[in-house]
Amino acid sequence: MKNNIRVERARQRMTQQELAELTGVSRQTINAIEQGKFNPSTVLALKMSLVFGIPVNDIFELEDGD
Amino acid sequence: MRKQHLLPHAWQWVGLAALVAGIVLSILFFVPFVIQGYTRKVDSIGTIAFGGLLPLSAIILCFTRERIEDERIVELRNKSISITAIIFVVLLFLGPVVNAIIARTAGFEFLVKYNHILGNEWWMLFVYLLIFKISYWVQNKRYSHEE
Repeated sequence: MKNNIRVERARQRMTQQELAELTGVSRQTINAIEQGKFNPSTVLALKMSLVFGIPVNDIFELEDGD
Repeated sequence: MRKQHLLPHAWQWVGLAALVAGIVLSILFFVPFVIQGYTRKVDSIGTIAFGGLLPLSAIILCFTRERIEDERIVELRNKSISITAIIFVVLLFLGPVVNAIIARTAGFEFLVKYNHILGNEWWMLFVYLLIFKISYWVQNKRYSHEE
């Protein structure tokens, strides 16, 4: 699963730490998600969607083989 | 988010204190045991260490939350539990075979000692802790730098 978290963060000038605090996870978890090493739960994906103010589909997208 | 039934993070210090005390008492138990042989005095030290402090520290450390207990950590805990369960099942099947081999080659005394080790399953908590803490440390190190 691909994600645009890094792009969205950069657009909103937000650090990983700030996003982590807003979504209630650790900075390492945000980093792991950005690198595609960890898939977030639906709850966390929806929280990110709320923080960025865009639909979940615009943050996460399926890749071939998913 | 689901509620997690774990002790607060500060309890790790209680667990660590019990672990250190248990290790010290274990050393106090084993040194005279090896040098002088078995006595009633060292027996009580061994009971406190292996029957009290070490299992207690294992339970506290296993059921204490990390500083930020998020879903990545929960997944890590689940993976560690799975690996520990596999090791435990393998040991359960391997145990009788190893016992039979030791009984044939080294005599009954060694067989009893091996049964004693397998009979105290609380040490599997330490296997879980070891797997979990190493994975936790490795992951945190890997994902600590912000890109």
